[in-house]
Amino acid sequence: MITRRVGRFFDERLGTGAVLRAAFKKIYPDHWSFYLGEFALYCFVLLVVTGVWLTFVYDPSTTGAYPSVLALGRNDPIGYLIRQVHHWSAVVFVAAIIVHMARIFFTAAFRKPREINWIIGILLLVLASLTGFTGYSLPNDALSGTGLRIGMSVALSMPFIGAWASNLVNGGAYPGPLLLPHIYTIHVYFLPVLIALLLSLHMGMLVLQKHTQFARDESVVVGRRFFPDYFLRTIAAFGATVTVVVALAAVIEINPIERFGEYRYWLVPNPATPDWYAGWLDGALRLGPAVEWRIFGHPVPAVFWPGLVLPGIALMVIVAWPWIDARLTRDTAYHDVLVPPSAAPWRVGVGAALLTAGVVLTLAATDDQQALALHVPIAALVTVDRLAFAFGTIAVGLVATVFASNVRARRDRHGAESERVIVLVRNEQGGFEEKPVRSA
Amino acid sequence: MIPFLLSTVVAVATPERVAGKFSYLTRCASCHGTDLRGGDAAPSLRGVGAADLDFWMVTGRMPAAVPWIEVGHRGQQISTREVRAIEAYVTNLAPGGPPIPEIATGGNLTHGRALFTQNCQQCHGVDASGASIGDRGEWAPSLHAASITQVAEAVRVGPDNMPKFAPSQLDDPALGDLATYVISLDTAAATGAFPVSSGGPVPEGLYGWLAAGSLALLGYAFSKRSGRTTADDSRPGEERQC
Ligand code: HEC
Ligand code: HEC
Repeated sequence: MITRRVGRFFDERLGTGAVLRAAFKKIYPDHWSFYLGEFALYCFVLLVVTGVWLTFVYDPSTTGAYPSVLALGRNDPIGYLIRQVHHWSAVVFVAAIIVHMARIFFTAAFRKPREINWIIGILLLVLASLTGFTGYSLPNDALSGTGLRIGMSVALSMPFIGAWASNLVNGGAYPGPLLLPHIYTIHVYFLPVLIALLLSLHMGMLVLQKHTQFARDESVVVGRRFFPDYFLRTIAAFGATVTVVVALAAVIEINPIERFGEYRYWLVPNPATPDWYAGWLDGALRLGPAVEWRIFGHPVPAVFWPGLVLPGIALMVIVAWPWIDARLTRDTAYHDVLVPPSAAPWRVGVGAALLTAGVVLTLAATDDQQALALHVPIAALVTVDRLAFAFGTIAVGLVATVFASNVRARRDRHGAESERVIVLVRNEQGGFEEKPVRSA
Repeated sequence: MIPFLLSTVVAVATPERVAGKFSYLTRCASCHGTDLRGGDAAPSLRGVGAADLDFWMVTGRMPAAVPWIEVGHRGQQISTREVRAIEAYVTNLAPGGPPIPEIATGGNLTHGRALFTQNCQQCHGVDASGASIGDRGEWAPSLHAASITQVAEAVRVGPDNMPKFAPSQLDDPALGDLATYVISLDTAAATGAFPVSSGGPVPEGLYGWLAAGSLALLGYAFSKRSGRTTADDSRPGEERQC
């Protein structure tokens, strides 16, 4: 009754009825892998909600930051839980984005006409990681300070503009008085607003272009209406995200800053690693060769290559992937239908190799802990990790390619078999016999 | 076996000093020498002090079985009575060195944390579960097995690669705060939730991935429930078929 009245009120003034009707009628294809992006979206929602809460208690000044985060645990009955939920959702957020992205990659959903959305997705991944990194820096504990210092030395290694950029962010030499306030502004206004904007574009484009799907027919989308079928499902997806993240936050401790102590620039905690999604960058720094070249008389520090050049190249390859893929497949047609991953075994190989590179670099960021557990010298682990990065990735890529082409061969065989029409006939003894009449 | 039986009998039957001499000669002298001066098999024990002797014996590092094979914390190997007797014997013969510190429990945790983060976590890890130090595979052990007295002793005597801290650098009340903090790390996590071992953020990420994985499974479960499937033929792709 009330809803109907409110609905009519807005419909008469704004014509919302038609819009809503269209939205409710929108068809969502039914496949589990389509929820992966939704989980990421709901992590973002959780991040915003808990993040707003945290802005009320956080003090971005250099001296006030650490005590203000510690006070959360003391003065506020659920403040600590909120902080744990915030941090855990960031950790799950990036993981969900990557799983979602892997689905897009392996099913070739990035093909024309969806290249733009692929790039927006990558931007979202980069922004999510940056937001995570800046957030991790805010409590001003010894661990985050160390992370910032590493970030600053990578920034400083940029030829020509490095020192200038670092001075600008710090408001002087590192660690400058403006560093935390700047990072705070970037973390709570700039990056989240950008993410929200890109997310709306991402999803607007999804509505405009409609979903891809696993189906034979290019011309129709088969699935469930938004209301009520899909609506209930997406509510369930939201509930699942909240449940899993809050359960993690309630049970498992994350980033115990009271152990690290307040940041003093002469203190480096042991062990020191960044949050996992920046682990590959830390790993690259640890594996990078200790060379300092001079380019046109300018010294270029060793961290420049693994810290900026390597991630830059990786990012460029991923951004350009739809075009690389189109070139390799000689296929520039429109595609609304997804392929199973094995349809292009080499694509599976490339994806597996990229993921392996990420895993190897991330593990390299924990080499000191592996050295402790195995009681082997770190230098030996660095050598092993370098070899794994250079050759292990290629090996895994090749194995994945072979595996995928086997799967494809098997599928082709089974496909042919299932199209065979079998006729059973009764023989003289009263039994049945197979009698193939025609085969496809 | 026979020296062991004898030493036990003698330790029970005679005054401490004599028992100490007997225990020392049967258990330690083979490496540290009858005159305490050590040699190729072991360092000298002259003037090491009661804290040093106590630390090495109570953590079970001494008596060693083989010289120079690194032994970690393995629990006391000989009776407390013998430990006291050997301490009395050795310190009496060659006095000097720090005494066993008298540590009051219930020190100030905040001060203790400040001392620990400045002086100890670089080697033992922020939550004292051990960490690797240097490039050649050395490590500092976990402190979770050590008692409060052993922590204080270790700080005063500096076993092996560990630096020692004299009372002029760290007075007894401060040592009490530090040792109280180290012991507090044995039990609860900082926040009351379960700690993620000592690993820090990258291992935390592993849990994040487990969570993402279980979400994917849940998504799989949602998509398998029945509902009405409809088709929508107004895809913009239709015009571009040609
Ligand atoms: C198998 C040989 C061996 C035996 C037996 C032995 N030790 Fe040792 N001890 C060593 C060696 C080797 C070291 C040096 C260890 C190191 O630095 O890692 C050592 C070190 C020590 C230290 C530390 C010295 C310092 O410089 O701080 C003390 C104290 C000690 N031993 C006491 C004893 C006592 C008491 C006994 C008898 C209960 C004993 N040891 C039995 C070999 C032995
Ligand atoms: C330079 C690195 C280093 C620093 C700094 C350091 N330690 Fe140690 N610590 C070690 C090493 C190495 C050992 C193992 C010695 C051995 O097993 O012979 C050790 C052993 C110990 C032990 C004995 C553990 C056991 O259960 O047997 C305790 C307790 C200890 N340290 C406490 C501390 C405290 C408290 C501090 C800070 C005041 C500290 N350490 C600072 C390297 C260090």
